[in-house]
Amino acid sequence: MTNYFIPIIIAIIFFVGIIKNIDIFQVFIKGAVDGLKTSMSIFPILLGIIAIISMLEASGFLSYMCKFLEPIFSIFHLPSELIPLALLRPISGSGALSFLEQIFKNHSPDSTIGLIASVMAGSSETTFYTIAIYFGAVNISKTKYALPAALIGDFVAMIMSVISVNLLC
Amino acid sequence: MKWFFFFGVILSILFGIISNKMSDVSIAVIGSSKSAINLFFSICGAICFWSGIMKIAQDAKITSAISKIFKPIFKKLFKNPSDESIEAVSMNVSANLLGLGNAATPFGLEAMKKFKKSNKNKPYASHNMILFCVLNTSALQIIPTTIAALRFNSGSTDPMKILCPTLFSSLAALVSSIIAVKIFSKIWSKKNK
Repeated sequence: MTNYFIPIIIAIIFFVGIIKNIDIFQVFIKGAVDGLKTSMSIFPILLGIIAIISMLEASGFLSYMCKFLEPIFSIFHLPSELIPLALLRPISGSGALSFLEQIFKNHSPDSTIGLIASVMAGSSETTFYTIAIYFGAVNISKTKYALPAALIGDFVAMIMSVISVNLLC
Repeated sequence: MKWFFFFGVILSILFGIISNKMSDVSIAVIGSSKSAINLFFSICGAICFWSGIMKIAQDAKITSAISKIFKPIFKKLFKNPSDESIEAVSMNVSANLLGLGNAATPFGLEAMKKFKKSNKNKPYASHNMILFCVLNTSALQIIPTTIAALRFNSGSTDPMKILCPTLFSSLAALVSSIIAVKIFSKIWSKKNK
């Protein structure tokens, strides 16, 4: 079902475009050029964020944070193996996915831990990166309460992933 | 953002010394520009492609049709949103719901530009911008495609088993972030009076 999704969406858009007598190729090129400009404006932000985050990852900061936060997360019955994932998820998309793969290797993806880890990774985003790109693209550095509000959401997602797996799986 | 940069460096030096990993930290700095350019290449193509497709959808008035569906919700959620910002937000949300993250980004950035315009180009974040960002960070989607694919590759017998709990948990996250934004914005405007 999901395999049909993308091609069909594109086909529908092209179809409506042709009906409305639009030169879909020309318009596509125009839009793609805009996309190129967008990507160019994102790149410097990516560069900065990735530099800082990979420094933090390499310094062992995360493993100290895990130890520090373990008592807080254990109140919510979050398995201690998953704390690194909870911390990694908001800052590094690729880091979180490779950690998830490790969990699938050590436990099965269908075990309780595997399920919780999947839900955890699926129900939140790389918050830092999203906020940096969205505000960076409009040249705004005073983001006020954007980060705290988004992190509250991430924290709720982490806790709810434990609860929802226990309830719904 | 400047504090994230500043403390990021300080903390990594501090913890690099504590855990005796300063060499790793230095390597990370050098390697990071390479991984940034790799990430750039991998998303740049997708962003360009989807911007092209979505431009057709815009010209064919598909986007304005979709935004009509979402309009009542967003009119309540955002403070006096302009029609063009509702259109961009609707497209961003529908692409996100379908799990097309890369298609969502160009619309997200466009929505931010529209919000900035209606905020008279002030150099700080508006309530609408923050609310919109939070909509995006809570990762609401109907089918968690990436994770399901990863589960499938790791030999799961039921990769889609996570569908309901994921939806449930990201919905909870979304609602709590929206509440947080509403509360923070009240505190903020009181403080500035």
